[in-house]
Amino acid sequence: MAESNVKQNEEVVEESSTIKGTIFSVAVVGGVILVTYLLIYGLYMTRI
Amino acid sequence: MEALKSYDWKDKANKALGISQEDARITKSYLSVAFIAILFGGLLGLLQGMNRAGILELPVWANYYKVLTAHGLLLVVVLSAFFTIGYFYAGLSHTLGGLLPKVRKMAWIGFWMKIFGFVLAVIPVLQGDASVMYTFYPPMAAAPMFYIGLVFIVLGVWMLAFGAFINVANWRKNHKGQHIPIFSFFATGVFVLLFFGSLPVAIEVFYIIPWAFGWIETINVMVSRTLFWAFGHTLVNIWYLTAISAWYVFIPKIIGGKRWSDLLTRVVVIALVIMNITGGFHHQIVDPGISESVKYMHVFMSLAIGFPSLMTAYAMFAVFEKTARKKGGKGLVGWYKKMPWGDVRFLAPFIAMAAFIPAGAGGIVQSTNQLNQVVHNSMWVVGHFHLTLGMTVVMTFFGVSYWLVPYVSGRVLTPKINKLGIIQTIVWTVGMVLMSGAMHWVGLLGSPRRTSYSTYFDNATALSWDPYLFFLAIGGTLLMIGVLLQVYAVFYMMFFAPKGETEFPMAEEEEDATPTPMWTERWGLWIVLMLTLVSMAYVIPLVDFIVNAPPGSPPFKTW
Ligand code: HEM
Ligand SMILES: [Cu+2]
Repeated sequence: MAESNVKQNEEVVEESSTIKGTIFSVAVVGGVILVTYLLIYGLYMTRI
Repeated sequence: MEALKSYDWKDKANKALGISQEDARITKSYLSVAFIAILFGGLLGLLQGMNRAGILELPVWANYYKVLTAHGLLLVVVLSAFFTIGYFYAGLSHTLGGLLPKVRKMAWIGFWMKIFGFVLAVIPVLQGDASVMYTFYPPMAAAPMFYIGLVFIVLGVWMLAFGAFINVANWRKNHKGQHIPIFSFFATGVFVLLFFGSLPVAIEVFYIIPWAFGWIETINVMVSRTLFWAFGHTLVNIWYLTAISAWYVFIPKIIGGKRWSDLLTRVVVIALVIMNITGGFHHQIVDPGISESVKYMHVFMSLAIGFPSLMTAYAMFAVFEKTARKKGGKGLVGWYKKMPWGDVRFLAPFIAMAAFIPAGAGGIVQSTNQLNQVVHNSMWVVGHFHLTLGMTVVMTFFGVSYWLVPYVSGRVLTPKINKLGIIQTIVWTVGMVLMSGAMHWVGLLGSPRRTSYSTYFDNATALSWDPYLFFLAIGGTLLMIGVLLQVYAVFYMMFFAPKGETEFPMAEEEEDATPTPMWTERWGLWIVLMLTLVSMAYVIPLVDFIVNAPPGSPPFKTW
C-alpha cells in the first residue's frame, strides 16, 4: 500500500516537471537547421 | 502590491466592459482592409502561379510584372500593415484601459493617409506606369505619383506609431513603477521598429521623387538599395514580432496554460528591437561595391536575430509541454495529443510555428554568403518568404482573427465557423506546402524569381522545371480556396455571427513567477542601443557608396 503510494507520487512529479519533450522538440529544430545547411552546402560544393 | 491590485481591478473592469465601440470601429476598419487586400492579392497570386506553370498566358493589360507589383504591394504593404495596426490598437485599447481620444483621432487620420497613399500608388501600377515591384529598385523608375503615394503611406504609419507612443506614455505616467502590460510591450517594440525602420525608406523616396520627375538626372543605385533594405528587412521582422506576440501572449491562454517567463519574453522583444535593422544587408549579399569586411560583419548581424528566434522555439515547446503534462500528457512526444487540435485559434498558429522551422533554417542558410549564391534571386527565395510570411505570419493572423474579430464586433466564434477555420487551415497548409515546396525545388534547379513563363527556346534545364511548376499551380489553387474561406469567415464573424461576448484571451503569468526587474522598461536606452548598432552597420558602407560613387543612373522603364 505504502509502496504503491510512493510510486504514484514519483510518477506524477516526474511527468509534470520534466522538460524532455521540450528538449527533444528543440533538438528537432536544430536538426532541421543542420540538414538544410548541409544540403545547400553540398549543392554549393558540387557546383563551384 | 498596491499597484498590482489596482492593475488587476482595471483589468477586470475592462474585461467586464469589453472594448469601447469607438476603439472597436478602428480595429474593424483596419482588419477589413487587410482581408480585402488578401482577397485581391491572393487572386493575383493565383494568376502568377498559373502563368509560371505555363497554364495561363496573361493578357497585355495584365502583364506578369504589373500583376506581380500589385500582388507584392497588396500583401506586403497593405495586408500585413493593416492587420498589425488593427491588432495592436485593439490590444492597446484593451490593456491600457482604452485609447485616448487624441490617439483615436490619429488612428483615423493615419488610416485615411494610408488609404489615400495606396490609391495614389496603385493608379500608376494599373496604368502600367509603375511595374517596379514592391521593392522599386532604381534605376527602374515608376511614374512620380507612385512614390508620392508611398510618402503618404509612410506618413500614415508614423501617425499610428506616434499614437501608440502617446497612449503608452500616458499609461506609464499614470502607473509609475509598473511594467507596461506585456501585449502593449510588444506593441511598443513593433511601433518603435515601424518608425525607425521607415526612416531610411522615407529618405530613399524623397531622393527618388526629384529623379522620377527629371529634376535631377541621376541617382546613386547602391544608396537607394541599401536604404530600401534597412527598411524592408525591418518590416519582415515587424511581422515576425507581431506573430510571436500572439504566440507568447494568447496561445498559452487558448491551450489552458500560463505564460512563459515574463522577463525572457521582454528580453526577446528588446533583442529584436535592438538588433533588427542591421540585418538589412543580407538582402544585398551579392551586391557589388560592399567591402568584404562589411559583408563579413553583416553575416553576424543577421545570424544574431536567430538567437531570439531559438529562444522563442524553446519557450513555445516549454509552454506546450507544461500545459499538456498538467492535463495528463505522457511520453517523449505523446503529450502532444493533449493539445487542443480541434480549436482553430490554436491549430492555425501552431502550424504557423511549425512552418517557421524550415523557414528559419532556410533563412540561416541564405544569410551565409556562399550558400546565398546557390539560391540568390531564384524561386527558392519566393518559396522561402511564402513559408515565412505566407505561412508563419499569415496563419498566425488567421488564428488571431477567430477571436479578435468576434471580440471587436461583440459576437462569438460559432462551432461551425471553428470547423470552417480548421478546414481553411488544412487547405492553406497543403496549398502552401505544395506551392512553396515546388518553389524551393525549382529554385535549386535554377528557375529565376520575378520572371514570367519562358522555356528559353526549349532549353533542357528550363523544361525540367515544368513538372514541378505544375505543383505550384495546384498549391496556388488550393490557396485561393483558402483565401475565400478565410475572408468569408472574417466577414461572417464581423457582421453576421450571433451576438455575445468574446474574451481577449491574454494568458497570465505562473503563480510562482519571479517578478520582472524594472530595467526592461528602459525604452530610451533600447532605442539608443539600436541607433548605435545601426550606425555601426551603416555609416561606413553608406559613406563609401557616396564618396566613391560610380556615375549615377538615369531612370529606366524596363517594361
Ligand atoms: C493565393 C495565395 C498566393 C499565391 C498563389 C502566390 C503566388 C505567388 C507567385 C507565383 C509569386 C511570383 C514569383 C515570382 O515570379 O517571383 C509570388 C510573389 C510574391 N508573393 Fe505570393 N502568393 C500567394 C500568397 C501570398 C501571401 C499570403 C503573401 C504575403 C503575405 C505573398 C507575398 C508575396 C511576395 C512578397 C512576393 C514577391 C513579389 C516580388 O517579387 O516583387 N504571397 N506569389
Ligand atoms: Cu531580411
